[in-house]
Amino acid sequence: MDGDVLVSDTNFYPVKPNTPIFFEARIGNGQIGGTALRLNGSSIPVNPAGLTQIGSNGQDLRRSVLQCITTVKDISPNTNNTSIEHELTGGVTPEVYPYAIRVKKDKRIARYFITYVLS
Amino acid sequence: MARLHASITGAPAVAGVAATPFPAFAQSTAPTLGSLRTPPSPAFTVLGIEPSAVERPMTPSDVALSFINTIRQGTIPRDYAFEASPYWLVSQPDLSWQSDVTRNVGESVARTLSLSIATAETGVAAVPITSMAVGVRTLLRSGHMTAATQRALMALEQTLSETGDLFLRMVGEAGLDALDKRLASGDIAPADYEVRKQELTALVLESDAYREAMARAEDVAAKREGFFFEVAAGLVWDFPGASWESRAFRKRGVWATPSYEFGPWNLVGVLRYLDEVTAGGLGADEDAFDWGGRAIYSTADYGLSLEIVQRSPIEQTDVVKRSHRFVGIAEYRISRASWVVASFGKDRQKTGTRETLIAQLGLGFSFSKDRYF
Repeated sequence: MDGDVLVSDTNFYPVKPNTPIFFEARIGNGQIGGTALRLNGSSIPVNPAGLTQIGSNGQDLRRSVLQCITTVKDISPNTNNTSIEHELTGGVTPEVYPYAIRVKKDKRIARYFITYVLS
Repeated sequence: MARLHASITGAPAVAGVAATPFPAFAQSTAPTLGSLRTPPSPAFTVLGIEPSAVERPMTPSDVALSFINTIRQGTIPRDYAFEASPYWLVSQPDLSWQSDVTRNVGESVARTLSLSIATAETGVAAVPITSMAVGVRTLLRSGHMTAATQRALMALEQTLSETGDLFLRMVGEAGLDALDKRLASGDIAPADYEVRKQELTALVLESDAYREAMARAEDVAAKREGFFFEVAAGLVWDFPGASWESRAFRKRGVWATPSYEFGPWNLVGVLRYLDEVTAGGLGADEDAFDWGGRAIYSTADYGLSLEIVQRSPIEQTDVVKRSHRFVGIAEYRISRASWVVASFGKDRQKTGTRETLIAQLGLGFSFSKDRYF
C-alpha cells in the first residue's frame, strides 16, 4: 500500500541440541506494532510483553525455520521513524537483531519480515 | 511524523450581528479555542508572520541540507522558516509507546523541545529590513496518555498481530513453507531464498484478503490529559539592508501556559510578556504583560469557551492603559475540518482606536493532523 515499507532479511541463529530458545520483539520510536511467529509452518502464540518460548522442552530445533513478522504502524506525531529489535536467547549465544526504517507517509505501515534459520 | 498545523480564520459570514471586520489571517481579533496556548512556533509569532512553508526536517542530514541551501542564498536568508525537534531528529529505538504513557520533567522536556528560526522582509521598498527570529518551546509537564487511548493502542496491537498471523499463513501457503525446507536443508542459497521470499511477500500484500484484514488496523490518535505546562520564548533582530553589521535587537516574547485537561474540559492559564525594544512594527501597546485564563468545554462536534485576559503595559500613559479582554466563544463543527465560530465580548482597547466590541461569526478551517504533543 502507498507509503508502506518492507524490511526483509534472513539470519542464521545457532541453537543448542534438544533445547528450546526464547524470542522477544521490542518496538521503538513510540510506535505500535504486533508480531506473529511460525516455526516450520506452525503458528506460535506470541507474548507481546516479554519472552516467547520457541520449541518445547527437549525439542531439537536444528534445521528449523522461524518466520517472524513484526507489523509496525506509525502513530507518533513526531517522527516517521520506526525501529524494532528481535532478541533470540537460549541458543549458543544471545543475539539482538536491530532493524529500522522510515515510513514514507504519516500513519503508514512498516513490515519487518525476518527469517531465522536455526542451525 | 512531519507536523503540519495551520488554523485559518476565514472571512466572516455575518448573520445579523454587529461584526468587527477581520482579515483573512487575523490573529488577535479572531479568537479561537487555541489562542491562549503557547504558540507552536515562537519564532514565527514574535516575528509576526505565519509562514506558509515551514521546513521541518526529520533527520540531521535534512537539517544540514536545509541550512546549506539557505546559506547559498546570501548572508542573511530571506523568507525562511525552519522548525525542528532535536530529540526526534534521530531514531529512538528504546522508546516504546508504553514508556511514553507518563513522562517525568526531563523526558517531557526532551520529547517536546522544539527550536524555530524564521526570517522575513519587514521593511518597505525604500527601507528594506530583513528580520530574523529564533524561538524555543517545550513542555515541562505533558500529562499522561488517556486510558481510552491505551485501550485503543492495545487493541491495535492485537489487530496487527492477527494480521501478521494471516500474512505468515498466506505466504506459507503461497510457497514459502516449501522454500523454508529447502533453506533449512541447504538446497537454496540465502540470497536466492530472499529474492523468492520477497516475490511471495508482494503477492500476499496485494491480495484482497490481506488488504481487508489490514483495513481493521484503524488509526489511533493518541490523546493525553492531565496537567500540562508549556514554556516558550522568542527573540527578533532587524537587519536593515540585509547587513549583519547593522543588526539591532527589536523584540522578545515569553510565554508560560499551564493547563489541565480532563475529559471534555480544558482549563488554560496564560502568562505572556511581549516587549518591543524599538518603535514601529506592532506598536508600543505590545510592550506588556498578559495574564489570565480560559475554560474550555469541547466535544468532537462543538466547543464552548470563556476567556479573560488582563493586559498590563510596562509603561502606562494616557493612551496606553491597563485593559482586559473578556470573550465567550462557541465553535460548531460543520465538516471534518471546518467549524462555524462565533465570538462575543469585550476586547482590550488598542492604541489609536476606541473599538472594544467583539462580535463575530465566521468559519474556521484546520489542517492539523490528529496528533498529540
